[in-house]
Amino acid sequence: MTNPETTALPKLTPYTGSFADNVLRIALDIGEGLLKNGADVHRVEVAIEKVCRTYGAAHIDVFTIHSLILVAIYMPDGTHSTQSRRIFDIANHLTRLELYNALSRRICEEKPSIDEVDEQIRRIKHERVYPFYLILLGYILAAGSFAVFFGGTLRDGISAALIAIVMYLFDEVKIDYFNKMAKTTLVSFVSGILACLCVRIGLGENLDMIIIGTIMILIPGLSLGNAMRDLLGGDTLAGTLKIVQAVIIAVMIAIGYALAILLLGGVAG
Amino acid sequence: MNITNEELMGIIIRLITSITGTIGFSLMFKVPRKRLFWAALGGLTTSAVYELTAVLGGDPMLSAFMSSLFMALYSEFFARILHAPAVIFLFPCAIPIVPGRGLYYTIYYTLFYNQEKLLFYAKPTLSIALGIAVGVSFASIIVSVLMHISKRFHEKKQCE
Repeated sequence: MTNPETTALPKLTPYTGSFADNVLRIALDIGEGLLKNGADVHRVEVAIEKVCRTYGAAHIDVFTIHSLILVAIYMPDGTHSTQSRRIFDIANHLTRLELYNALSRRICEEKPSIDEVDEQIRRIKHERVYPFYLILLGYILAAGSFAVFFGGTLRDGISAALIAIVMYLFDEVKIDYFNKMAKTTLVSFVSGILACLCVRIGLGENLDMIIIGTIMILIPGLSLGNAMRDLLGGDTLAGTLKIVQAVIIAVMIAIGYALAILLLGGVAG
Repeated sequence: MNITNEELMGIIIRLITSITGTIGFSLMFKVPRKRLFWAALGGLTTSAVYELTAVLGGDPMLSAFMSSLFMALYSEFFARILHAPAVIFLFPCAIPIVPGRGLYYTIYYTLFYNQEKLLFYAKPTLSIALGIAVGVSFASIIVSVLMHISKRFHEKKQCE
């Protein structure tokens, strides 16, 4: 499994290459940052185009799907550059999304030097807004609230919140030798087992509600929403690919929970 | 429009949990600190619109349509005002109207096959999903028309 961090550029690089190369490199950095952190394809393409045009590119071709950005630019003096960027994992870090967006806007307005933009990008990559306990709190709140939201009791909410802690641990611990689909199945299987156990020991009351609360965390909501935006915006290819991915993830989640329910013989419905 | 005390209690519980749930998801997806309030407010108002239309009309598809229309306009509006990408507000707001319960039962009864219950849960789930899609696309049409009009009156802003 390829480590996604290797796609990031090394920390201090004495960049060689023409001006066109350098312009395209920062444009791709921004595009990658947007795409990784939950932007739709249209926004990514517009941002890359704006950045390149600001630095004087005469002709720009951008092609983006959820896992690849491919750009060619031509400068008025005849130099040109073609680069691509493979996107491995989606991070959904909305603060970084906003910072990249602000950066691309600033580039368009002020045209800072390429080194300065580079510095900014490096800073955004290391941006951390919330300490770990607040994110953990987010998992707990989300699962607990939605178990109650969909009709569970307070005890169901507490069980869902406890399971959410385990899910947080799964998300934080980077397991390289698992692929993403297998990991999703494993997480849903484990949380399904835990939900059944919670009901068995008498902590939770309704198995369904606990499971629904925890499923809400796993549902690939942002990528599904972006897929809809892509489809409606005319980027049919990117939208279709994302929808297929989201559906496969949903099936994996269903398999995980179904296995758990089958094993521990939950009575639901 | 008659609602019993029990239903009213359910609505209040759903409104409160929609706030905490939205905040939870905002933290999970690292919504910027200064946008957290607006995201939570969006989650509350979106689910309030959903509950209101559900009480008045009763049809899940219409409620989903109205609330997702509201949600998309809300997030586009605050995106313009606060100079942030709309998705930062859109995503947390969308969470309370995701038909999680129906989706779960649909998949559950597909796997443990029970045709009657499958249809019972699949129909509203599909219509809610359709309602959300139509609502969001309707809102995007409205927004693009408004943008087009406002661009005619203002100077053309290159860096939007």
